[in-house]
Amino acid sequence: MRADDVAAASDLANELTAALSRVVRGKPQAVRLALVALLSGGHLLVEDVPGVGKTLLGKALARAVGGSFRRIQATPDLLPGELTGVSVFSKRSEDWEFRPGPLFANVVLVDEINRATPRTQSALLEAMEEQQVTVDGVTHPLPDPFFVVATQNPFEHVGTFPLVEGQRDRFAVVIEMGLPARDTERELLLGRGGAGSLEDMAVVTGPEGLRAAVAAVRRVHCAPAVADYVVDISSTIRVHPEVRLGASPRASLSLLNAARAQAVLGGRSFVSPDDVKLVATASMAHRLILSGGADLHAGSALVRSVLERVPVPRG
Amino acid sequence: MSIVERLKRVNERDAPEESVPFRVAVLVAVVAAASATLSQGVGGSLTRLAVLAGIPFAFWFSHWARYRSGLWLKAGLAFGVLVAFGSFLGSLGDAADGGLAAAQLPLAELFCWVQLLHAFDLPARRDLLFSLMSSMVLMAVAGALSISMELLAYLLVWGTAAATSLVLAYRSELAQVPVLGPAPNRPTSEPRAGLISAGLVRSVTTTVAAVVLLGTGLFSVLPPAGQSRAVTFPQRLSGSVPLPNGGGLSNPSLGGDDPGGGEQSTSGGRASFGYFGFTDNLDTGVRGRPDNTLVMRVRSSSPDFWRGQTFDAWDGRRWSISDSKPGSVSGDAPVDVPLAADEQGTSTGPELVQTFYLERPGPNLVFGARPISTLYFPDRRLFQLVDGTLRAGVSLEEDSVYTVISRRPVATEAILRDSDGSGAAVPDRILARYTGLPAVPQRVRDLAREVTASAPTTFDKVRALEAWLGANTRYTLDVPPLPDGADAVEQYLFEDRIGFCEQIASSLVVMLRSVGVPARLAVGYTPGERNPFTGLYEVRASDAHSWAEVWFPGVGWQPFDPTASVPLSGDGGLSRASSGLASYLTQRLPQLPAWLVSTGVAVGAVAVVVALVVGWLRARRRRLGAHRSWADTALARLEALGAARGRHRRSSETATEYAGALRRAGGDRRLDQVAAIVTRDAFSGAPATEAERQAVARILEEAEATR
Repeated sequence: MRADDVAAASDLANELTAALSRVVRGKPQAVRLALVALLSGGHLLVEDVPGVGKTLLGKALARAVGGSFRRIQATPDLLPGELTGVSVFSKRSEDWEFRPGPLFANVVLVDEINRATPRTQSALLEAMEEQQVTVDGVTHPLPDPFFVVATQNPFEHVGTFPLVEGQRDRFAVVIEMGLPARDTERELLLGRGGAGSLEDMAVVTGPEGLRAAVAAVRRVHCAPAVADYVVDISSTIRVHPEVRLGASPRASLSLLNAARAQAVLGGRSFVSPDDVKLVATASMAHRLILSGGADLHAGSALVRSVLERVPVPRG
Repeated sequence: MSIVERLKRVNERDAPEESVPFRVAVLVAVVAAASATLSQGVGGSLTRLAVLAGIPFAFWFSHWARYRSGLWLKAGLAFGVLVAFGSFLGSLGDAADGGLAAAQLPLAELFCWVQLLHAFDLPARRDLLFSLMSSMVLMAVAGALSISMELLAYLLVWGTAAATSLVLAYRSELAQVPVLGPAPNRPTSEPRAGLISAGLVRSVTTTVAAVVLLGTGLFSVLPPAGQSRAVTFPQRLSGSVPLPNGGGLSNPSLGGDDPGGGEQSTSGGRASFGYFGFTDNLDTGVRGRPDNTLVMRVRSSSPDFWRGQTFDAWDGRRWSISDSKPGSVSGDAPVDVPLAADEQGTSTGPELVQTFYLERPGPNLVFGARPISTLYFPDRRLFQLVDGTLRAGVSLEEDSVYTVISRRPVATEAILRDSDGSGAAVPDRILARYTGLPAVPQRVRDLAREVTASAPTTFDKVRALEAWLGANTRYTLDVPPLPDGADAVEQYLFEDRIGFCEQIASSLVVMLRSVGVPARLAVGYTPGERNPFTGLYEVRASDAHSWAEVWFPGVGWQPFDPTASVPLSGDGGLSRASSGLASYLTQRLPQLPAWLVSTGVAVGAVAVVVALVVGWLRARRRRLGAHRSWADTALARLEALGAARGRHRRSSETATEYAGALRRAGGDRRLDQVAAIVTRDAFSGAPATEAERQAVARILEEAEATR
């Protein structure tokens, strides 16, 4: 029944793409990669200067997916407890009660994550990794699906705490929005798409549907040759002379999962080398620490050069 | 199931064969086999024309009419076969006096006609294969009739065509198996080339090479054909004319020296292949040897001297025959030849069958190992001399064939050495006729006595004299003229010390006689060279020879010859069919300078090593390629398509990307579809369906066509 599940997931992916594209105009790649992150069960980090629609993408995703949605505006004084929730003493029950924080939602939008302190960031990233929070020794599972969309402006330096390199690979996909094309910007001015259309946007699916889609993506067939190809890419990155810290096995796994999601987006029930290539840059670049430091642009260029070199399997 | 139904089922027609190349290959094989048979003198010109022109027409007709029911055709063909059979019976009656062997040629002719008639009704593959099989039998018939290497050319053509036919038949059969279809595993990488594809050439070459190797290997270990088991043997006269001289010797090849020469043949010199020994008066002063002309072929299971006649009287220069009055030999064919007076006392051994195929006109002597017991000879006029010499009453022209059965005494060194002590006495008749000598120079007698002094037996005396001759004289073809009045033996032994067989053999006979051993001079041919391919001995004029015959009590006449090595009858025989193969081949290799040979050997060795390495690499690649998937080959084809347009696929480029690039460069829009199917086949774990594969093949073919 795999084919049916995958077909349903593909339909869902198509609907999501259509819905998002109506709001986030002129950014098909960003929409695609955002959905790759969503469907692969990972998290999304959107980097760019303010005003190019990072938050809009996050909001649109949240609305399309349905379910519960929380938005967190990160600031230096944001405390971990304000994300995870706190235990309070209830007079009625005469016991400590856990008040869930904003992380307890299906979609969590963390704006300007690099403004939060490293301590808060760590709490957030830990929650993202383990899909649970521990408060006062009690572990509380986070909802399923649990999808974090974080944004940051990497060009701001004053009052920011850049994500520690090792923590960036908690994100399955990192994308840059980029400036819109002239036509798109014009349309935006004329009121087509953008934040204004967000309210008209229909909910495409609910937590149930998304969970099923993510499960279907996990079951997408991967031929041994494609796994080899992924390993080839990772190992080629690792031995690249400019790379100080290369792609971990977790990175390889994440890349393959992203490729699986890409396959579903393409309406297929198997991963092809094309899928791997389509997601490799967004999935890998932010994990690399180059001799010049962790630079997303340099990392992307390096991954692209590696993709140009690694032979694709013939079958 | 009723009998009628069974009959119907058995006679159900197969699907007509569509492959024209297969038909053509079978046609070539059949024509080659028929030509081979006809080239052996089978059939008249009408048969030849009808068969060689008819078979191609019949093949064309079979192809054209392959969908027709052909009931009337079958009836017609059946009638035709009956006519051919009737004609065969008729020709048997004509040739009745030739014995059973005379049926050989008409039978082969009948076979040719049947092959032709059958060729009219070959709609299906099974029929064509049947025709191929019968062409093999025809080839075997030609092989049985053949006595020369001429057949080799036909055999090569037939073998290649037959191998091609089998390969094509197999392919044609494969194409009809729906599951295999056009071989989905490896179809696309080998685009069909016209009639002769590289794959076909490879298959056929491999098959023929394997057959040749295997055949040569078998041939080299096979025992030789044993004693012929036929109940009747070839005999044929060609263009013979009766000789008027009543059993006298005739040898037209000697020109003016022909002993039987009438008025009309007294002119002209000796033919290049004429041997001066085949006369009634051998002059040892004559110089000049016959050339290398092939004078006859001999089929025999064992080599021996093919003796023509003997001489008993010596006058110091010439040999002659003292009792040359021929007696007539009569009887029905085959003629039982009585033991001649001078052969009485000869022990008889197993039969040795020898068939002589004459290639040049020769003397009217019947050659063969002695003593001859049975003779297959078409003419009744036969004459025998007291020494056992047989003469024909007709001239023996080229293409004449006769068969001789000899019962040679079994002789080994041990038997011959023991013969003195066997108690058997030398018949007086032999002693009287074969020990007499004229005034032989004393030093010749002294020498003979001296050399044989320490030899206890006759055999040892012969060997001692042979050894002395071998050590002190030299064989050469360039002998100084014999001075007038000189004794030929003395001149040879003490003056010249060089000579050829007449000098050597005469000396041996004279010296043996001088110590009391009965001996005579025999002339004839040495066995000649055995052609390992035909199994026949090829006797050339230069093989004409003279040697000594020595009487051994209880055994009979034994040939001895210090110059030619012919095994004793008890030691002879061949070990393998391929005996003499190496020497036969090396003697036919041109004489090349040593540096060329060594260079050739070195280049050959390097070539063999390179071929082995290349073969190993290719086999390895093919072994790896055994996993080569349909997707891989289809992608390869796509790559070839792009490469032809100057756009090679980069190794990091996926099929989809590459197809997109080709499409953008003006390629077929459907290439994307090809890439999608190929990608799915390669990575989805589910192979592409047959319809998809065909669609891909179609798109690629069209794209290749618009190249």
